[in-house]
Amino acid sequence: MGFSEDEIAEFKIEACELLDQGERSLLQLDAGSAFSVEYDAIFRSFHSIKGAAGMMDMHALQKHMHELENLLVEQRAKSTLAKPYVNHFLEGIDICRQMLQGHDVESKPFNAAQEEKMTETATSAAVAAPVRAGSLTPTPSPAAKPKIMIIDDERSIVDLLSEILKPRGFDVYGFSSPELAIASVASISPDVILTDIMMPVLSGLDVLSKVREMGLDLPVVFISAHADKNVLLQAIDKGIYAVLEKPFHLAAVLEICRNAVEKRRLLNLVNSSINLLIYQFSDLDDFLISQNKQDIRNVIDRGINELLDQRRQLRNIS
Amino acid sequence: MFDLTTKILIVDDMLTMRKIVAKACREMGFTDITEAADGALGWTKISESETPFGLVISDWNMPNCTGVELLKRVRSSQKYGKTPFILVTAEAEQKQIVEAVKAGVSGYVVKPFTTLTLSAQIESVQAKLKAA
Repeated sequence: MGFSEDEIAEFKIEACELLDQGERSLLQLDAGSAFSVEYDAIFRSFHSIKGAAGMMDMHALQKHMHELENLLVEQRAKSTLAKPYVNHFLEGIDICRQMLQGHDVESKPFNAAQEEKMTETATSAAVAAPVRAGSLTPTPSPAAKPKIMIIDDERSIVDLLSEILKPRGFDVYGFSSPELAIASVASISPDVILTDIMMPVLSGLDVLSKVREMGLDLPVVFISAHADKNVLLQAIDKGIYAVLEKPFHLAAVLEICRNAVEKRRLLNLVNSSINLLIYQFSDLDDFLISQNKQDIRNVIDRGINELLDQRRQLRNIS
Repeated sequence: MFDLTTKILIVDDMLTMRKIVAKACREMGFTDITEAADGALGWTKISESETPFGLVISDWNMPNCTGVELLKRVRSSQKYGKTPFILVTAEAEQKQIVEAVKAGVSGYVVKPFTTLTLSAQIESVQAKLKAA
């Protein structure tokens, strides 16, 4: 059975929605919800994607979801899902998302002993490990941490921000080369970018422009000691999220990063919900046309356009 | 008995899978295809349809009402109890097959499957109906 690009794209949208539901349930476990309450949503996300991936000959994805599902089913009788499993499943969801985006990534086998150790020592290891500018392989850490990309040609600034953010629950990807950082945005998929303004070759404004050209709803924060007014006006025009002033104040760095991550996640949720709605409407549209229900089509069409307008407005709220 | 005018109900909580099964049915030449997003909605479609469905193709794992629960509901109905019913699942687990057979399933397809596999399963159900 062959599948068109549209059919595969529609599957990916539905799979992302299922992954969001599974992820929400795993995060609810972290917030104290009972495993028995959340089990079905997590199972459904793994199981449904596995089945459809198999039908579409996406064998690596099918195998990945099969392994996650089997591990989950093994834990079903337990009253709680241990933290290493939660982390492994969250990481598995991230890997699935990357596979759906076409990245060549592999499943990670579950190793309970190693995961326990990693969870216990994550904080101290993160503090001790120096940030590697330009590296694509960050320090291993439990999944679902917000990802912050820091771009500054001054290595000491990258190191300083990294030391502030890593022990406080962020995955940090430091770059002293903005060109390399931009080239890595697709593979890292950061939640927020913190970038210096004045850099050789590519400026902070160039970074912001390139992120917008990629069509990403990604909050970009400028790092500045004394920002030029004209640069800031241009940045506002292109949708800068905030400006982080040097010298850094711990509370301000954390507040900006946490709010930016929250905005990014809300936009992701809005995007996936709107995409799913449009996808489901497209499914219904043929039926409405065949039944000559133009009035209903018009109402739904207006509703979707209003949602798209609201999304555009939301993108511009800092 | 089936022919290409047979009314088919496809039940699956995943839209992608409903589309895949519907596409396979259309490739076989069937045209009267209805979809439902879970077992409970499937039962509503079955019980409210003016023309009875000639075949139900249902996923196993679904929220609200699973495929096998829908099958049991259909089989316990006086009016729709003989509706041919094919279950779709991701694993050919012995325990699941036994449960499905006990509940009166007409046929069983394991994902991933091809149009040919589904077609063969429908023909096999057809042959059983003729022999009965």
